[in-house]
Amino acid sequence: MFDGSLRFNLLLALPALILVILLTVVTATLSPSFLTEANLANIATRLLPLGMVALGQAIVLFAGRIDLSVGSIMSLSTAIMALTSTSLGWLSITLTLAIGIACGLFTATGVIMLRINPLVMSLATAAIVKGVTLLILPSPGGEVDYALYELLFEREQLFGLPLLLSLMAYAVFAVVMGWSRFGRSVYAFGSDPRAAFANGVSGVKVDLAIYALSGLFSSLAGIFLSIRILSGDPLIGEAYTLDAVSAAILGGVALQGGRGNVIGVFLAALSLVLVNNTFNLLELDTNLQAIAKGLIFVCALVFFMRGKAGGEA
Amino acid sequence: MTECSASHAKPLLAVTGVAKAFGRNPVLKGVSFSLLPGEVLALVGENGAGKSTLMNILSGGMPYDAGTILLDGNEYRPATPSEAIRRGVAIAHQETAIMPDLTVAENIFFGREPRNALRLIRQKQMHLDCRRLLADLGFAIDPYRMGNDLSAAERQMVEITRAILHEPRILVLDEPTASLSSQAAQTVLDLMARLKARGTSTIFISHRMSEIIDAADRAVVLKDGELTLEARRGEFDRDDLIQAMVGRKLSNIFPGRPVSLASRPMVFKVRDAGNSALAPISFYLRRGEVLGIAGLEGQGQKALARALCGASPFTTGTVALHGKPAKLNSPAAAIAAGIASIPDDRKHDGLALNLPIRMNMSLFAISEKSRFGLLPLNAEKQFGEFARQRFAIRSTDLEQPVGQLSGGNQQKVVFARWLARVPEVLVLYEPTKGVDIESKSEIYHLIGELTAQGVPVILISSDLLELIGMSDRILTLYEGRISGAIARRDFSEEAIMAHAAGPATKAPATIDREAACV
Repeated sequence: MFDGSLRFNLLLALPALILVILLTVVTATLSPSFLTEANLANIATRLLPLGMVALGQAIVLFAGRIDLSVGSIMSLSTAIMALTSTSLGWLSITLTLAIGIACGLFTATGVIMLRINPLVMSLATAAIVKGVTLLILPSPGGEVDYALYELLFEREQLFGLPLLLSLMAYAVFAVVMGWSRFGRSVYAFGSDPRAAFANGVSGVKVDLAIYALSGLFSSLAGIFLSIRILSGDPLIGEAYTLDAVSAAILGGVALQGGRGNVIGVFLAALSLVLVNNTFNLLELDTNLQAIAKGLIFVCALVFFMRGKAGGEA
Repeated sequence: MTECSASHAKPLLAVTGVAKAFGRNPVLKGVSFSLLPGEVLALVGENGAGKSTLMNILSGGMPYDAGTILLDGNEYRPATPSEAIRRGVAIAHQETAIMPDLTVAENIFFGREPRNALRLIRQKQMHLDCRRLLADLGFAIDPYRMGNDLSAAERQMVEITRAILHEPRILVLDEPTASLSSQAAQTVLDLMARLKARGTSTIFISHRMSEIIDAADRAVVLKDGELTLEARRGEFDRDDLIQAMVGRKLSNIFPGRPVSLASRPMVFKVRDAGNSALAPISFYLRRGEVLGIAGLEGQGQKALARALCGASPFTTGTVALHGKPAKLNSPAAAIAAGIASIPDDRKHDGLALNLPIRMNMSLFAISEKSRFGLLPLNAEKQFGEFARQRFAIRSTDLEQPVGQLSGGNQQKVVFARWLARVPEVLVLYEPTKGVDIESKSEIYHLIGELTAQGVPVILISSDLLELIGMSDRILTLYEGRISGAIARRDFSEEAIMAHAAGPATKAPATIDREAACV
């Protein structure tokens, strides 16, 4: 089914696209408020943080690595924003991004220097980051500059800045991953690290780059989240770790690395936001929502594993 | 620099007294040789003789401890493969480095992709260029194929193409023909001749004596880190090479075969057996017989090996062992029926590389010697030590991980497993691929001993010398069918290649009726 290059194959985005259409049709039919401007703007607003964190995760997965610290980095970023945004202004965003990147580089260092398994190393980073976050902001609170909220979220419209930012990030990385030598190195590394090394790819550089990008996108996600809730929350990012991996897998990215494209990831992130929205609008139990997302994750894993097995037969 | 010697050409590469040791273990003990512009130099030697180390030094994979290397009169000490390439030395490794999720063109052009003004890769242009390049070199591969879709031979061709794309002054080919059929190998040898005409020098490593004799302007033989022979074309023959490599004669490499097997009972019969990759084929094996299976690359050899070991079973026809039907519909069933199979890709299919020799050897012994489902460590060690000595497996001890052994010794571990239980039928698929000549000889004698015990052997191989030296009868496969049968008295490389090239119009008449199973 998935012949040829799995980096450019848009068929990989098909399951996510179907899910998006399905959820849109079903929810629009069952709930009159789905297609209102306010709700669509809400979807775009919620897509922004998940979209960012999923993009970072996807890049890490292209290289055959994984980053389970993204949620914790998000939480930390909301905390830093909440503590510094009113006093430092724009500088606080720079500071938050720098710390996010530093967290990613920390994971990369463990993976490179100490040769720790990336899954375990990023879990360790997650624990450390979470501890630091709870130290500096033990409970939800703080304050984020309202001017930022005005800029991003006040005008409630579907085609506002939040959606534009998501689309831009994905468009840029669709090109970077597909047609740049950096992108090719990431896929080559994820495809077969040994072969990539023999072809001149520096695994160290790839690891540093992907985890730095993942940290960057996680803290971007955290910044957007903190602006939306106008405060910090030391645990708000938790659920995003699984959602980010889930979005990447549902978008056709292979856990083994080397396969997938960001178009699929964008649609998959959108579909996960729609799942949330659907459950909210239909007033279903939020616990059911977690179950539904978990099931979607498993289905996506099974579906794409079959695709891969077919390709190798 | 003061004067030119009798040889009018100045060497492009001059290696003088190069030495290299790993820890206290010397691998190269002062090797000296030179390479002229446009010269084809064959580097010959057993695995472990130091060839790979020398190649790695030349290609920037590792530094050397002592001695000098001059490239065009300047010191040559590349720290990285890319520096070697900048200086004009490119290598095509035997262990190909093909990235599975990239296309052929993306693999070949990796890091050198044509880019547009925005520094983005021009995918279409690149694949077009690649198609032209491959066609020019004589390799029939679609540039849009994915790396994981390529056969071993195609991977080797991609690897060579990648090295040539660097337009090196010195091209180093590490066993370029090991995975190739004679025809594909000829394409590579022709390519070397064309590069030579362009002035490119080639160093190639090979285990195939005939191509060394045919294609090399000069051959140097390494043994235990020292040069034991250096000779120009025409000044050496097969025996000289082998003598220099291992210090023994070719006639000692193969065990003798019994004169006639015609009176022996048929032990194994395959009738009209086929599957999606194999036309229904029929053949039989007599007690203690070696049936060689020859053919060009990818004519159903692998499918046959996989069908016989139950990995992708026959879907039609019957298989009978000692007159009783045998079901080979899974590897477990084939093993239970007593079909021992030795795969070509021992790293993926045969061995657990991280586990010690001891545990790798006892994999099949477990069921027979275990008590209450547990394998007594003592018995395991005893068997392992016995097998290690019996097969002359060179290792530090039984606990050494198999991954650290040389190719030949790894293969001996695979063979040793079957010592726990004499098989009913032994299926060998490229059993000596990438194995040095001494290990080969040991493996051949081992096969000889098993046949002396009455075990029939199916030997599927692309090594004609091996097929001719070991087989009692040879069948050729072409497009999943048996295209020819040759009796021992008619064995020759030409006869095999003629049948292997497909059923020519006159082929049926030349099929040996006794040799074919009719």
